[in-house]
Amino acid sequence: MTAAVSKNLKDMTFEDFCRTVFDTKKRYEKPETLKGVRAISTTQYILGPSCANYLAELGAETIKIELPKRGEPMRHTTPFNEPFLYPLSRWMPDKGTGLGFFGANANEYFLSLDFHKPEAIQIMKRLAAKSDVFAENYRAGTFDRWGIGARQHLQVNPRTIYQWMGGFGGWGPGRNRASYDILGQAQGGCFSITGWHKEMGGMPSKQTIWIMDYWGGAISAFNIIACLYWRDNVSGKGNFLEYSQVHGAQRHLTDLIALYGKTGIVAQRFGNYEPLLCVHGIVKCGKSSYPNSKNPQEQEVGFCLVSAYKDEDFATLCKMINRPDLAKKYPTHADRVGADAQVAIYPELEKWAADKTKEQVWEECKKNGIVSQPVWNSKEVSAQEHYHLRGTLAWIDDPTFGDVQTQVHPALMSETPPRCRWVFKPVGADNEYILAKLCGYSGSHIAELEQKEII
Amino acid sequence: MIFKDSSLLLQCPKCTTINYLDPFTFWNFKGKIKCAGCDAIWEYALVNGHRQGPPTEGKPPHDKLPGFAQSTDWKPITTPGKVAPAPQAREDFQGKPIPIAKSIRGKAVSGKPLSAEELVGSIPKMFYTGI
Repeated sequence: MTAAVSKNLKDMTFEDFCRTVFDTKKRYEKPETLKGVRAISTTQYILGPSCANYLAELGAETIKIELPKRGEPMRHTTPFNEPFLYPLSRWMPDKGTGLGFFGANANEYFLSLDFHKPEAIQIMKRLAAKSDVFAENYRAGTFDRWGIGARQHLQVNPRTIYQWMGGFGGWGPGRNRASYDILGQAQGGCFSITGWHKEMGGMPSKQTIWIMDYWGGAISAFNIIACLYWRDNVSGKGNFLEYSQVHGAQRHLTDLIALYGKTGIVAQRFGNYEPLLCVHGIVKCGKSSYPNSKNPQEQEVGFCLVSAYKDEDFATLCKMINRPDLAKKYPTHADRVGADAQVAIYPELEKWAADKTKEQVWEECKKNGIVSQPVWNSKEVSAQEHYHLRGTLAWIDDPTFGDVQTQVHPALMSETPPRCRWVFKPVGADNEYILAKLCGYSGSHIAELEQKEII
Repeated sequence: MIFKDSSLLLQCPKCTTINYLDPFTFWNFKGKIKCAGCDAIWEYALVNGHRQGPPTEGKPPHDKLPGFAQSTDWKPITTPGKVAPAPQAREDFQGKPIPIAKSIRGKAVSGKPLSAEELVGSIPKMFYTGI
């Protein structure tokens, strides 16, 4: 597609138009949005790496720097501590990288450097001089102490966008504390509103995926791109950015901060019900979709999201479950939304669903025009044509590791589509390529650095 | 240290062994638990992780074993038959690497330990030798 839409595209239905311009099979032939931007990432775990990953998926030349040989901790901090893809590095071919490394390190070049050696600091300064973005998530002030922090980088290269990411920030009462995703969720207030009401057990619930890390990575990447715009179109200057995880978490509290500010009300957990709408929650279905599976997670009974909060939808739902009396008892939103009404309504839905699988509940709801969706597990998500067709979930023929299934950037772009070229690489896989290209080092010099365990 | 009022820590009234009732198994439970220290049987009930009353002595057989147990001087009890194995997501999952050479759709993937010789053709070798 060009700026002037071709006649061919103009005559298509909107669906065909979208299918044509977003054709995921052609995304490797198209240009990349951030082509020409170089980012250095000295990050670990998820928060920092996911930021670099988003830039790399959009086409930035992103160079990840890890400690030599074993690499960053996330390679070894997988669920169940189980390696998946081999080799870990050329020095440790019998060791592997775990599943947790997926989704936050795609398309990057991998350089190993031991920051404890003065020569490594010199290499970092050389790289900073030739890079647009520098992202790190060591404890605040560590890189400054080592002479490779924002102040030093901006001195070497005043156009650098220096993004620090971490728990609390470089100043303020919490600055010496470290953080993980789960701590961010706890301190930001997210746990306090997720989980069960005190009448139902009271326990808050964490979000198992590292949502505060991935969100923080995304907002950091977003800020970096904004700063690149400001540098290249407005000021010509670099920028020093701080992203603190606990602040990012509290940004998720939606209206609840304003609610407290106005009324003093502290929002409570409400389980799988919705405090503002009814019915708009998750219903337990009595039958498993996979009763004969050997996997206990599949044997469990199903759950289905049901949304019928408008008065007419609720009346339809009541008719569907053969309880028209409920529609008479709770005819309006105001009648239904209170806790007592919700506690009475949901069990009736679950009684109706007790002899059904989540697919059967979904089917009945669809027949009656009620919004619903079974709660899918990762196996069911992996099987969805919608994701594979639109390219946000893909089997990648990875150049190093072979056939792997992975998520891809979730946004589609007609002219400059994000893409996954490789899921990640072994530790130090691009030492020679990067050091020769950006530092001008010869093969023998690089071999010497390796011998001295600097890389 | 006394845990007599705790819900998911069942301290044996006979031998004081601390039996850890893992939430995965015992969050909603009603039945008989065997103490890992003295094999006494205790009838016990939990709803949403909260116990419904103190344990009362029962008769064999038991329904479940605690997930883990310790004596009051913190010596762990992990003997099979005294405590239950950790709940596992899959029968074949043992907490150890599962080497694979094919993905679930049957294509080649580098999912098993390699030797140095198997790295032939990698970028570093090309860089040094030009091959």
